[in-house]
Amino acid sequence: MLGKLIKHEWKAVWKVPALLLGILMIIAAVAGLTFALPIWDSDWIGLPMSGIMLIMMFYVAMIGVSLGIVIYLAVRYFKNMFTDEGYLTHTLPVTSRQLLISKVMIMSVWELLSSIGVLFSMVVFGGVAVFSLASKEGDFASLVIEAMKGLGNLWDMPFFKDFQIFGVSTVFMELVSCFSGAMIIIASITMGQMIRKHRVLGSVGAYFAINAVIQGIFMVIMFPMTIKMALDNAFLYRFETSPFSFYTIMFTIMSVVYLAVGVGLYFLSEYLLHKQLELE
Amino acid sequence: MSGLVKINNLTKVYEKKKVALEHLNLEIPRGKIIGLLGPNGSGKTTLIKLMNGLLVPTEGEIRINGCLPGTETKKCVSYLPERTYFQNSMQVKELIDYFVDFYGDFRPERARQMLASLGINENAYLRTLSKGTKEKVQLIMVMSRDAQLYILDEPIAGVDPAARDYILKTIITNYNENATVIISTHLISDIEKVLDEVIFIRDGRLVLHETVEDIREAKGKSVDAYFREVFAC
Repeated sequence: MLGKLIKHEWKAVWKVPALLLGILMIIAAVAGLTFALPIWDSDWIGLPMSGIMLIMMFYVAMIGVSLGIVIYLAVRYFKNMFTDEGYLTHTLPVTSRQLLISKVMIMSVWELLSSIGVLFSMVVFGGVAVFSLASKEGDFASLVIEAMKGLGNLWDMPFFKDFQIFGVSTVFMELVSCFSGAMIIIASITMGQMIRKHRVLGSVGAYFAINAVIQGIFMVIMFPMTIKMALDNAFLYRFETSPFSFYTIMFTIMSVVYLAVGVGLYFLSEYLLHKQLELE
Repeated sequence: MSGLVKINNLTKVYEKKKVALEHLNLEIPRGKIIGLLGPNGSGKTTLIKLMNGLLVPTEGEIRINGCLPGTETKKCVSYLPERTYFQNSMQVKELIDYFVDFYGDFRPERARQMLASLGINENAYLRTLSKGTKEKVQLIMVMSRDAQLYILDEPIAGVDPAARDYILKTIITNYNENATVIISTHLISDIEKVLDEVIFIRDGRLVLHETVEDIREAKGKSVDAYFREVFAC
Protein backbone atom coordinates (compact mmCIF):
# COMPACT_ATOMS: atom_id res chain seq x y z
CA MET A 1 0.00 0.00 0.00
CA LEU A 2 2.89 2.38 0.69
CA GLY A 3 3.98 2.14 -2.94
CA LYS A 4 0.46 3.01 -4.10
CA LEU A 5 0.27 5.95 -1.72
CA ILE A 6 3.61 7.26 -2.99
CA LYS A 7 2.51 6.81 -6.60
CA HIS A 8 -0.74 8.73 -6.12
CA GLU A 9 0.92 11.42 -4.01
CA TRP A 10 3.50 11.98 -6.73
CA LYS A 11 0.82 12.12 -9.42
CA ALA A 12 -1.17 14.64 -7.41
CA VAL A 13 1.78 16.87 -6.61
CA TRP A 14 4.32 16.95 -9.46
CA LYS A 15 2.68 19.37 -11.89
CA VAL A 16 2.83 22.64 -9.92
CA PRO A 17 6.45 22.40 -8.69
CA ALA A 18 7.59 21.26 -12.15
CA LEU A 19 5.81 24.23 -13.71
CA LEU A 20 7.38 26.65 -11.22
CA LEU A 21 10.85 25.24 -11.87
CA GLY A 22 10.23 25.43 -15.63
CA ILE A 23 9.34 29.11 -15.29
CA LEU A 24 12.48 29.67 -13.22
CA MET A 25 14.64 28.15 -15.98
CA ILE A 26 13.06 30.49 -18.54
CA ILE A 27 13.68 33.51 -16.31
CA ALA A 28 17.28 32.34 -15.76
CA ALA A 29 17.86 32.07 -19.50
CA VAL A 30 16.27 35.47 -20.17
CA ALA A 31 18.36 37.06 -17.39
CA GLY A 32 21.49 35.44 -18.84
CA LEU A 33 20.61 36.66 -22.33
CA THR A 34 20.67 40.27 -21.14
CA PHE A 35 24.47 40.04 -21.39
CA ALA A 36 24.10 39.69 -25.14
CA LEU A 37 22.24 42.99 -25.35
CA PRO A 38 24.19 46.12 -26.29
CA ILE A 39 23.19 47.89 -23.09
CA TRP A 40 26.12 47.44 -20.74
CA ASP A 41 28.46 49.92 -22.44
CA SER A 42 25.74 52.52 -22.89
CA ASP A 43 26.41 56.07 -21.68
CA TRP A 44 22.86 56.32 -20.42
CA ILE A 45 22.58 54.66 -17.01
CA GLY A 46 18.98 53.56 -17.66
CA LEU A 47 19.98 50.80 -20.05
CA PRO A 48 22.47 48.91 -17.84
CA MET A 49 20.05 49.49 -14.93
CA SER A 50 17.26 47.72 -16.79
CA GLY A 51 19.63 44.79 -17.38
CA ILE A 52 20.45 44.71 -13.67
CA MET A 53 16.71 44.75 -12.93
CA LEU A 54 16.24 41.67 -15.11
CA ILE A 55 19.03 39.89 -13.26
CA MET A 56 17.44 40.96 -9.97
CA MET A 57 14.19 39.48 -11.21
CA PHE A 58 15.97 36.15 -11.60
CA TYR A 59 17.24 36.44 -8.03
CA VAL A 60 13.72 37.16 -6.75
CA ALA A 61 12.35 34.30 -8.88
CA MET A 62 14.81 31.87 -7.25
CA ILE A 63 13.53 32.81 -3.81
CA GLY A 64 9.91 32.93 -5.00
CA VAL A 65 10.01 29.51 -6.63
CA SER A 66 11.70 27.87 -3.61
CA LEU A 67 9.17 29.45 -1.29
CA GLY A 68 6.28 28.78 -3.66
CA ILE A 69 7.05 25.07 -3.81
CA VAL A 70 7.27 24.81 -0.02
CA ILE A 71 3.98 26.69 0.43
CA TYR A 72 2.29 24.57 -2.24
CA LEU A 73 3.41 21.35 -0.56
CA ALA A 74 2.32 22.63 2.86
CA VAL A 75 -1.14 23.58 1.57
CA ARG A 76 -1.42 20.24 -0.22
CA TYR A 77 -0.60 18.37 3.02
CA PHE A 78 -3.11 20.43 5.00
CA LYS A 79 -5.89 20.02 2.45
CA ASN A 80 -5.30 16.34 1.82
CA MET A 81 -5.08 15.41 5.48
CA PHE A 82 -7.28 17.77 7.43
CA THR A 83 -9.99 19.27 5.22
CA ASP A 84 -12.74 17.55 3.19
CA GLU A 85 -10.15 15.54 1.25
CA GLY A 86 -9.10 14.02 4.57
CA TYR A 87 -12.39 12.09 4.65
CA LEU A 88 -11.07 9.96 1.82
CA THR A 89 -7.40 10.01 2.86
CA HIS A 90 -8.16 8.73 6.36
CA THR A 91 -10.65 6.09 5.27
CA LEU A 92 -8.18 4.37 2.96
CA PRO A 93 -7.16 0.97 4.33
CA VAL A 94 -3.65 2.14 5.19
CA THR A 95 -1.91 2.89 8.46
CA SER A 96 -1.11 6.38 9.74
CA ARG A 97 2.56 5.46 9.37
CA GLN A 98 2.16 4.60 5.68
CA LEU A 99 0.25 7.82 5.07
CA LEU A 100 2.85 9.91 6.82
CA ILE A 101 5.83 8.20 5.17
CA SER A 102 4.33 8.77 1.72
CA LYS A 103 3.82 12.47 2.47
CA VAL A 104 7.30 12.90 3.99
CA MET A 105 8.99 11.12 1.10
CA ILE A 106 7.31 13.12 -1.64
CA MET A 107 7.79 16.41 0.19
CA SER A 108 11.47 15.66 0.88
CA VAL A 109 12.06 14.68 -2.73
CA TRP A 110 10.47 17.92 -3.93
CA GLU A 111 12.50 19.96 -1.47
CA LEU A 112 15.61 18.30 -2.93
CA LEU A 113 14.44 18.76 -6.53
CA SER A 114 13.66 22.38 -5.73
CA SER A 115 17.21 22.95 -4.43
CA ILE A 116 18.72 21.17 -7.43
CA GLY A 117 16.43 23.16 -9.72
CA VAL A 118 17.48 26.48 -8.21
CA LEU A 119 21.13 25.46 -8.47
CA PHE A 120 20.61 24.38 -12.06
CA SER A 121 18.91 27.68 -12.85
CA MET A 122 22.12 29.41 -11.72
CA VAL A 123 24.06 27.18 -14.10
CA VAL A 124 21.60 28.09 -16.86
CA PHE A 125 21.95 31.77 -16.03
CA GLY A 126 25.76 31.56 -15.86
CA GLY A 127 26.00 29.41 -18.98
CA VAL A 128 23.77 31.66 -21.07
CA ALA A 129 25.56 34.74 -19.69
CA VAL A 130 29.04 33.41 -20.60
CA PHE A 131 27.79 32.29 -24.00
CA SER A 132 26.27 35.73 -24.56
CA LEU A 133 29.44 37.48 -23.49
CA ALA A 134 31.66 35.25 -25.55
CA SER A 135 29.60 36.00 -28.62
CA LYS A 136 30.14 39.71 -28.40
CA GLU A 137 33.11 41.97 -28.09
CA GLY A 138 33.55 44.86 -25.70
CA ASP A 139 35.34 45.92 -22.55
CA PHE A 140 32.62 44.76 -20.20
CA ALA A 141 32.47 41.35 -21.80
CA SER A 142 36.20 40.76 -21.66
CA LEU A 143 36.23 41.94 -18.05
CA VAL A 144 33.61 39.43 -16.95
CA ILE A 145 35.19 36.61 -18.94
CA GLU A 146 38.56 37.37 -17.35
CA ALA A 147 36.92 37.36 -13.92
CA MET A 148 35.41 33.96 -14.58
CA LYS A 149 38.76 32.60 -15.70
CA GLY A 150 40.23 33.99 -12.51
CA LEU A 151 37.73 32.00 -10.47
CA GLY A 152 39.42 28.84 -11.71
CA ASN A 153 42.70 29.90 -10.17
CA LEU A 154 41.10 30.38 -6.75
CA TRP A 155 41.15 26.66 -6.01
CA ASP A 156 44.94 26.69 -5.70
CA MET A 157 44.86 29.29 -2.90
CA PRO A 158 45.39 28.17 0.75
CA PHE A 159 41.99 29.71 1.52
CA PHE A 160 40.30 26.84 -0.27
CA LYS A 161 42.10 24.12 1.66
CA ASP A 162 39.59 21.59 3.08
CA PHE A 163 37.00 22.72 0.56
CA GLN A 164 36.29 19.17 -0.61
CA ILE A 165 35.34 17.86 2.83
CA PHE A 166 33.31 21.03 3.29
CA GLY A 167 31.52 20.20 0.04
CA VAL A 168 30.68 16.74 1.33
CA SER A 169 29.32 18.17 4.59
CA THR A 170 27.28 20.70 2.62
CA VAL A 171 25.72 17.98 0.46
CA PHE A 172 24.99 15.93 3.58
CA MET A 173 23.39 18.92 5.26
CA GLU A 174 21.32 19.65 2.16
CA LEU A 175 19.99 16.08 2.12
CA VAL A 176 19.21 16.19 5.83
CA SER A 177 17.60 19.62 5.44
CA CYS A 178 15.24 18.29 2.78
CA PHE A 179 13.97 15.70 5.23
CA SER A 180 13.92 17.96 8.29
CA GLY A 181 12.42 20.86 6.31
CA ALA A 182 9.59 18.59 5.18
CA MET A 183 9.17 17.28 8.72
CA ILE A 184 9.02 20.78 10.21
CA ILE A 185 6.17 21.68 7.83
CA ILE A 186 4.32 18.41 8.34
CA ALA A 187 4.72 18.50 12.12
CA SER A 188 3.68 22.17 12.31
CA ILE A 189 0.48 21.51 10.39
CA THR A 190 -0.25 18.32 12.32
CA MET A 191 0.38 20.02 15.68
CA GLY A 192 -1.76 22.95 14.56
CA GLN A 193 -4.75 20.59 14.31
CA MET A 194 -4.68 20.23 18.07
CA ILE A 195 -5.90 23.83 18.31
CA ARG A 196 -9.32 22.74 17.09
CA LYS A 197 -10.88 26.13 16.56
CA HIS A 198 -7.82 27.83 15.06
CA ARG A 199 -6.08 25.13 13.10
CA VAL A 200 -4.25 27.33 10.58
CA LEU A 201 -3.14 29.77 13.24
CA GLY A 202 -2.03 26.83 15.35
CA SER A 203 0.04 25.49 12.45
CA VAL A 204 1.76 28.83 11.89
CA GLY A 205 2.42 29.15 15.61
CA ALA A 206 3.83 25.61 15.75
CA TYR A 207 6.11 26.39 12.78
CA PHE A 208 7.64 29.38 14.53
CA ALA A 209 7.86 27.51 17.83
CA ILE A 210 9.71 24.57 16.24
CA ASN A 211 12.14 26.92 14.50
CA ALA A 212 12.71 28.85 17.73
CA VAL A 213 13.54 25.58 19.51
CA ILE A 214 15.97 24.61 16.74
CA GLN A 215 17.67 28.01 16.93
CA GLY A 216 17.89 27.62 20.70
CA ILE A 217 19.57 24.22 20.30
CA PHE A 218 22.03 25.70 17.81
CA MET A 219 22.86 28.53 20.19
CA VAL A 220 23.45 26.17 23.09
CA ILE A 221 25.71 23.92 21.01
CA MET A 222 27.46 26.46 18.80
CA PHE A 223 28.16 29.27 21.22
CA PRO A 224 30.52 27.39 23.58
CA MET A 225 32.16 25.69 20.63
CA THR A 226 32.88 28.99 18.91
CA ILE A 227 34.22 30.50 22.13
CA LYS A 228 36.44 27.48 22.75
CA MET A 229 37.84 27.60 19.25
CA ALA A 230 38.53 31.29 19.58
CA LEU A 231 40.24 30.80 22.94
CA ASP A 232 42.35 27.97 21.54
CA ASN A 233 43.33 30.35 18.79
CA ALA A 234 42.45 27.55 16.46
CA PHE A 235 39.54 29.42 14.99
CA LEU A 236 41.61 32.52 14.30
CA TYR A 237 44.47 30.44 12.93
CA ARG A 238 42.26 28.38 10.72
CA PHE A 239 40.31 31.33 9.48
CA GLU A 240 43.48 33.00 8.32
CA THR A 241 44.28 30.02 6.20
CA SER A 242 40.94 28.33 5.40
CA PRO A 243 37.57 28.70 7.12
CA PHE A 244 36.21 25.52 5.59
CA SER A 245 37.30 23.07 8.27
CA PHE A 246 35.40 25.15 10.82
CA TYR A 247 32.35 25.31 8.60
CA THR A 248 32.58 21.57 8.01
CA ILE A 249 32.33 20.96 11.75
CA MET A 250 29.53 23.49 12.03
CA PHE A 251 27.55 22.01 9.15
CA THR A 252 28.02 18.49 10.49
CA ILE A 253 26.68 19.52 13.89
CA MET A 254 23.78 21.32 12.23
CA SER A 255 23.04 18.23 10.16
CA VAL A 256 22.96 16.03 13.25
CA VAL A 257 20.65 18.49 15.04
CA TYR A 258 18.35 18.75 12.00
CA LEU A 259 18.28 14.97 11.65
CA ALA A 260 17.46 14.46 15.34
CA VAL A 261 14.75 17.13 15.20
CA GLY A 262 13.32 15.64 11.99
CA VAL A 263 13.15 12.14 13.45
CA GLY A 264 11.60 13.46 16.67
CA LEU A 265 8.99 15.42 14.73
CA TYR A 266 8.21 12.37 12.62
CA PHE A 267 7.31 10.27 15.67
CA LEU A 268 5.35 13.14 17.20
CA SER A 269 3.37 13.59 13.97
CA GLU A 270 2.71 9.87 13.71
CA TYR A 271 1.44 9.78 17.28
CA LEU A 272 -0.85 12.76 16.71
CA LEU A 273 -2.25 11.32 13.48
CA HIS A 274 -2.85 7.93 15.04
CA LYS A 275 -4.16 8.95 18.46
CA GLN A 276 -5.45 12.49 18.21
CA LEU A 277 -7.01 12.77 14.76
CA GLU A 278 -10.20 14.83 14.76
CA LEU A 279 -11.51 15.85 11.37
CA GLU A 280 -13.89 18.80 11.37
CA MET B 1 -25.62 -14.53 13.49
CA SER B 2 -23.38 -12.20 15.49
CA GLY B 3 -23.64 -8.45 15.12
CA LEU B 4 -21.54 -6.68 12.55
CA VAL B 5 -21.00 -3.60 14.70
CA LYS B 6 -20.79 -3.58 18.49
CA ILE B 7 -20.67 -0.32 20.34
CA ASN B 8 -19.84 -0.48 24.02
CA ASN B 9 -20.22 2.44 26.41
CA LEU B 10 -19.17 4.90 23.71
CA THR B 11 -18.62 8.47 24.81
CA LYS B 12 -17.28 11.37 22.82
CA VAL B 13 -16.61 14.71 24.46
CA TYR B 14 -15.35 17.55 22.29
CA GLU B 15 -13.47 20.58 23.48
CA LYS B 16 -15.19 22.80 25.99
CA LYS B 17 -16.86 19.73 27.51
CA LYS B 18 -19.41 19.43 24.70
CA VAL B 19 -20.78 15.90 25.04
CA ALA B 20 -21.65 14.52 21.59
CA LEU B 21 -22.19 10.89 22.60
CA GLU B 22 -22.77 9.57 26.08
CA HIS B 23 -22.39 5.94 27.14
CA LEU B 24 -23.88 4.62 23.92
CA ASN B 25 -24.43 0.86 23.65
CA LEU B 26 -25.58 -0.61 20.39
CA GLU B 27 -25.38 -3.76 18.31
CA ILE B 28 -25.96 -3.54 14.58
CA PRO B 29 -26.79 -6.78 12.75
CA ARG B 30 -25.70 -7.95 9.31
CA GLY B 31 -27.83 -7.81 6.19
CA LYS B 32 -30.08 -4.89 7.16
CA ILE B 33 -30.78 -1.38 5.98
CA ILE B 34 -30.81 0.77 9.07
CA GLY B 35 -31.85 4.37 9.47
CA LEU B 36 -29.75 6.35 11.93
CA LEU B 37 -32.20 9.05 12.84
CA GLY B 38 -32.16 12.03 15.10
CA PRO B 39 -32.51 15.79 15.05
CA ASN B 40 -29.61 18.06 14.13
CA GLY B 41 -26.81 17.89 16.69
CA SER B 42 -27.99 14.57 18.12
CA GLY B 43 -24.64 12.87 17.53
CA LYS B 44 -25.30 10.99 14.27
CA THR B 45 -22.30 12.33 12.40
CA THR B 46 -20.05 11.98 15.44
CA LEU B 47 -21.03 8.30 15.71
CA ILE B 48 -20.35 7.80 12.01
CA LYS B 49 -16.97 9.52 12.19
CA LEU B 50 -16.01 7.36 15.15
CA MET B 51 -16.99 4.23 13.21
CA ASN B 52 -14.71 5.37 10.40
CA GLY B 53 -11.76 6.23 12.63
CA LEU B 54 -11.98 9.94 11.85
CA LEU B 55 -12.41 10.73 15.54
CA VAL B 56 -10.98 9.09 18.62
CA PRO B 57 -13.48 8.10 21.34
CA THR B 58 -13.18 9.67 24.77
CA GLU B 59 -14.39 6.47 26.37
CA GLY B 60 -15.68 3.08 25.26
CA GLU B 61 -15.11 1.34 21.95
CA ILE B 62 -16.55 0.38 18.60
CA ARG B 63 -15.86 -2.99 17.03
CA ILE B 64 -16.65 -3.74 13.41
CA ASN B 65 -16.25 -7.40 12.55
CA GLY B 66 -14.53 -7.69 15.91
CA CYS B 67 -11.89 -5.06 15.10
CA LEU B 68 -11.41 -1.55 16.39
CA PRO B 69 -11.64 1.10 13.63
CA GLY B 70 -8.40 0.86 11.66
CA THR B 71 -6.88 -0.63 8.57
CA GLU B 72 -8.88 -3.87 8.79
CA THR B 73 -12.26 -2.18 9.24
CA LYS B 74 -11.54 0.31 6.46
CA LYS B 75 -11.16 -2.62 4.06
CA CYS B 76 -14.77 -3.62 4.66
CA VAL B 77 -16.50 -0.30 5.36
CA SER B 78 -17.64 1.91 2.49
CA TYR B 79 -18.28 5.42 3.74
CA LEU B 80 -20.14 8.29 2.13
CA PRO B 81 -19.49 11.47 4.12
CA GLU B 82 -21.81 14.45 3.99
CA ARG B 83 -19.17 16.45 2.14
CA THR B 84 -17.39 15.82 -1.14
CA TYR B 85 -13.87 14.58 -0.56
CA PHE B 86 -12.42 14.58 -4.06
CA GLN B 87 -9.25 16.25 -5.23
CA ASN B 88 -10.60 18.59 -7.88
CA SER B 89 -7.51 18.18 -10.04
CA MET B 90 -8.41 14.52 -10.69
CA GLN B 91 -10.29 13.12 -13.65
CA VAL B 92 -13.19 10.71 -13.03
CA LYS B 93 -11.15 7.86 -14.57
CA GLU B 94 -8.24 8.65 -12.24
CA LEU B 95 -10.65 8.42 -9.34
CA ILE B 96 -11.66 4.94 -10.50
CA ASP B 97 -7.96 3.94 -10.68
CA TYR B 98 -7.50 5.36 -7.19
CA PHE B 99 -10.32 3.24 -5.77
CA VAL B 100 -9.12 0.16 -7.68
CA ASP B 101 -5.65 0.60 -6.17
CA PHE B 102 -6.80 0.94 -2.58
CA TYR B 103 -10.01 -1.05 -2.20
CA GLY B 104 -9.84 -4.72 -3.06
CA ASP B 105 -13.65 -4.91 -3.12
CA PHE B 106 -14.11 -2.06 -5.62
CA ARG B 107 -15.83 -3.07 -8.86
CA PRO B 108 -14.75 -0.64 -11.59
CA GLU B 109 -17.08 -2.11 -14.21
CA ARG B 110 -20.04 -1.39 -11.93
CA ALA B 111 -18.83 2.19 -11.42
CA ARG B 112 -18.35 2.70 -15.18
CA GLN B 113 -21.81 1.34 -15.87
CA MET B 114 -23.43 3.72 -13.38
CA LEU B 115 -21.38 6.68 -14.66
CA ALA B 116 -22.42 5.88 -18.21
CA SER B 117 -26.08 5.64 -17.19
CA LEU B 118 -25.82 9.19 -15.86
CA GLY B 119 -23.89 10.39 -18.90
CA ILE B 120 -20.83 11.34 -16.86
CA ASN B 121 -17.72 11.42 -18.98
CA GLU B 122 -14.81 9.52 -17.41
CA ASN B 123 -12.38 12.01 -18.89
CA ALA B 124 -14.07 14.92 -17.12
CA TYR B 125 -12.09 16.71 -14.45
CA LEU B 126 -13.87 16.74 -11.11
CA ARG B 127 -13.51 20.53 -10.84
CA THR B 128 -15.69 20.88 -13.95
CA LEU B 129 -18.59 18.90 -12.45
CA SER B 130 -21.49 20.53 -10.62
CA LYS B 131 -21.89 19.95 -6.88
CA GLY B 132 -24.83 17.59 -7.50
CA THR B 133 -22.91 15.57 -10.09
CA LYS B 134 -19.90 15.31 -7.77
CA GLU B 135 -22.18 13.96 -5.06
CA LYS B 136 -23.54 11.38 -7.48
CA VAL B 137 -20.01 10.37 -8.53
CA GLN B 138 -19.09 10.00 -4.88
CA LEU B 139 -22.15 7.83 -4.23
CA ILE B 140 -21.29 5.70 -7.28
CA MET B 141 -17.75 5.17 -5.97
CA VAL B 142 -19.03 4.19 -2.53
CA MET B 143 -21.74 1.85 -3.85
CA SER B 144 -19.37 0.21 -6.36
CA ARG B 145 -17.63 -1.54 -3.51
CA ASP B 146 -18.66 -4.99 -2.29
CA ALA B 147 -18.37 -3.81 1.28
CA GLN B 148 -19.74 -5.47 4.40
CA LEU B 149 -20.88 -2.18 5.86
CA TYR B 150 -22.00 0.92 3.98
CA ILE B 151 -22.24 4.06 6.07
CA LEU B 152 -24.05 6.85 4.27
CA ASP B 153 -24.14 10.20 6.04
CA GLU B 154 -27.01 12.37 4.80
CA PRO B 155 -26.95 10.94 1.26
CA ILE B 156 -30.14 12.71 0.20
CA ALA B 157 -29.75 16.02 1.99
CA GLY B 158 -29.74 19.07 -0.24
CA VAL B 159 -30.69 17.31 -3.48
CA ASP B 160 -33.84 17.60 -5.55
CA PRO B 161 -36.57 14.89 -5.36
CA ALA B 162 -35.54 13.32 -8.67
CA ALA B 163 -31.95 13.02 -7.48
CA ARG B 164 -33.22 11.54 -4.19
CA ASP B 165 -34.98 8.79 -6.11
CA TYR B 166 -31.84 8.12 -8.12
CA ILE B 167 -29.73 7.95 -4.96
CA LEU B 168 -32.10 5.59 -3.18
CA LYS B 169 -32.37 3.41 -6.28
CA THR B 170 -28.57 3.30 -6.51
CA ILE B 171 -28.29 2.26 -2.88
CA ILE B 172 -30.96 -0.43 -3.11
CA THR B 173 -29.79 -1.94 -6.38
CA ASN B 174 -26.08 -1.93 -5.67
CA TYR B 175 -25.49 -2.88 -2.07
CA ASN B 176 -24.23 -6.30 -1.26
CA GLU B 177 -27.19 -8.18 0.22
CA ASN B 178 -25.16 -9.72 3.00
CA ALA B 179 -24.00 -6.28 3.99
CA THR B 180 -25.53 -3.73 6.29
CA VAL B 181 -26.35 -0.21 5.16
CA ILE B 182 -26.54 2.56 7.74
CA ILE B 183 -28.24 5.68 6.42
CA SER B 184 -28.08 8.79 8.54
CA THR B 185 -30.72 11.36 7.73
CA HIS B 186 -33.47 13.54 9.05
CA LEU B 187 -35.48 13.22 5.82
CA ILE B 188 -37.25 10.14 7.09
CA SER B 189 -40.27 10.03 4.84
CA ASP B 190 -38.04 9.76 1.78
CA ILE B 191 -36.13 6.73 3.01
CA GLU B 192 -38.66 5.01 5.23
CA LYS B 193 -39.78 2.61 2.53
CA VAL B 194 -36.30 1.09 2.21
CA LEU B 195 -35.48 0.70 5.91
CA ASP B 196 -35.50 -2.55 7.91
CA GLU B 197 -34.59 -1.01 11.25
CA VAL B 198 -34.26 2.42 12.80
CA ILE B 199 -32.04 3.82 15.49
CA PHE B 200 -33.19 7.04 17.18
CA ILE B 201 -30.58 9.07 19.02
CA ARG B 202 -30.99 12.31 20.91
CA ASP B 203 -28.33 14.32 22.74
CA GLY B 204 -25.83 11.53 22.15
CA ARG B 205 -27.98 8.88 23.79
CA LEU B 206 -29.84 5.93 22.33
CA VAL B 207 -33.59 6.52 22.39
CA LEU B 208 -34.78 3.53 20.40
CA HIS B 209 -33.52 0.68 18.22
CA GLU B 210 -36.37 -1.26 16.63
CA THR B 211 -37.46 -2.78 13.37
CA VAL B 212 -39.67 -0.65 11.14
CA GLU B 213 -42.27 -3.41 11.22
CA ASP B 214 -42.45 -3.35 15.02
CA ILE B 215 -42.91 0.41 15.07
CA ARG B 216 -45.71 0.21 12.54
CA GLU B 217 -47.43 -2.65 14.34
CA ALA B 218 -46.91 -1.56 17.94
CA LYS B 219 -47.38 2.17 17.50
CA GLY B 220 -49.70 2.09 14.52
CA LYS B 221 -47.69 4.86 12.90
CA SER B 222 -45.15 5.38 10.20
CA VAL B 223 -41.56 5.88 11.30
CA ASP B 224 -41.78 9.49 10.17
CA ALA B 225 -44.88 10.12 12.32
CA TYR B 226 -43.35 8.33 15.29
CA PHE B 227 -40.13 10.28 14.91
CA ARG B 228 -42.11 13.54 15.00
CA GLU B 229 -43.84 12.37 18.16
CA VAL B 230 -40.64 11.32 19.93
CA PHE B 231 -38.68 14.42 18.96
CA ALA B 232 -41.49 16.94 19.23
CA CYS B 233 -40.15 20.30 20.38
